[in-house]
Amino acid sequence: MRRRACALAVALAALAAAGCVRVRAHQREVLAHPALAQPPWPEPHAAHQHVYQIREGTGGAAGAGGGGCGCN
Amino acid sequence: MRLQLTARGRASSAVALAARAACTLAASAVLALAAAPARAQVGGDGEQATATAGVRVYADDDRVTVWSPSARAATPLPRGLAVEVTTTIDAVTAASVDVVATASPYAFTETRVEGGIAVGLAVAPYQQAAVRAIVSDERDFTALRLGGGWRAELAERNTTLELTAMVGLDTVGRAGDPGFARDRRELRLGAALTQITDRRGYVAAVLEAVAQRGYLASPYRFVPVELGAAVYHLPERVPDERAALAALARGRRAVGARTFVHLDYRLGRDTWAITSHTATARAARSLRADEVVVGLEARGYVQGAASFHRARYLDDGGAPAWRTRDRTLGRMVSATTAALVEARLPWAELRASASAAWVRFWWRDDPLQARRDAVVASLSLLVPLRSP
Repeated sequence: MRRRACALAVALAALAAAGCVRVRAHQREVLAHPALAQPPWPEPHAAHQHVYQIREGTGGAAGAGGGGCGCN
Repeated sequence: MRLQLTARGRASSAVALAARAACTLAASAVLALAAAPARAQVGGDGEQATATAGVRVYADDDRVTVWSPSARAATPLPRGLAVEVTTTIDAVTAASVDVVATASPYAFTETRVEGGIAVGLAVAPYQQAAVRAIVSDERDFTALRLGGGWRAELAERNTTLELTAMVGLDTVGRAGDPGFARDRRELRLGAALTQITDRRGYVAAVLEAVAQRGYLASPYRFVPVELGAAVYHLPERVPDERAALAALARGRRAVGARTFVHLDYRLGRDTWAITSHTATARAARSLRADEVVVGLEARGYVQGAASFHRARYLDDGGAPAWRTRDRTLGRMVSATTAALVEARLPWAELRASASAAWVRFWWRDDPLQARRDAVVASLSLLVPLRSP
């Protein structure tokens, strides 16, 4: 339990530290690349998730939540 | 939509075939909807209206084949509105051991239709709210999903926060038994945070909670219970409440001029004591001046068993209160390898994407089937349209 809490704290700290970064619109050429979209292949992603949902016992948190890099 | 069941064989096998057909489609219906993300973003490709047509194929070595043509149209509208409509048809051909103990020589086909609509509204600069409805119908299963979400790009668009909620209202029926109807309710809440880390990548955290209540068993599944040397069968019975929590950590990064790496890890846990771990790694490469993107993906999944799942159920002075033959509630492992490609075609700004995946499932507690191999392929074409 303590290890999990520690890992969660590290992850949140890393996310918070990343929040200090400011990448401006004109600096997002790489971030706007289709390979960094979320998900990068929407149709195949949906097809695979469909199969996993049926054949596996747990799911969730696999969608495209988060909205990608905010480049569009 | 009427389910179409075409059984070739003796009339006496009709019930078993209907059971199998209905079971496969019921699972397909509800889980397809579960797979549909409750996104808060609605609209076409940026500011442009788009239409997408595609087809997916699933085939496995248990003689199950599913063809799923789908279509989607999305367009931005004046005053910050956006609309998206979707439809999917699942056409299943199967002779599976999923419900009965032995594979049937008879084939069946049947169809499920799903439709959805979503409306998005820009409520403020870089903020969008959306509502979404999805309905799926077949002879013995109807499913409705109603949801909404809010999405905001914050901190000079370096941070994206998305909150979603979706309610599920399902009615479970049973083929050949018009009097059988059971309710199933679902509430799904999600939160996702995406943070740009530098000019070359970003990280994301996704949290999703699901609460289900009602009839969560299969009306077609019967569980053998051993009483000494004798065996009798009882209907499957599982708790009528289930809550699950899933957390995902995601990273995407460019590691070279044209190479990209994606890493995901997901932890799942539910009140039936199932814990799962999923790891996905993907490498993508951009070719031909970004006209083509190819990718390779590897995914591994491992889960423990539900607290009441047993390989064998024994009558020890009475039948077990909870009993199931659902192999997805037992210990299992799956492995996937996939190849993906997306290309911008030289005609009318068309974009095509295709994928082929091989998936192997190992069910460690299932005495009937310990392993299954499946192939999943998809092909889709996106057409930009003129916005109104």
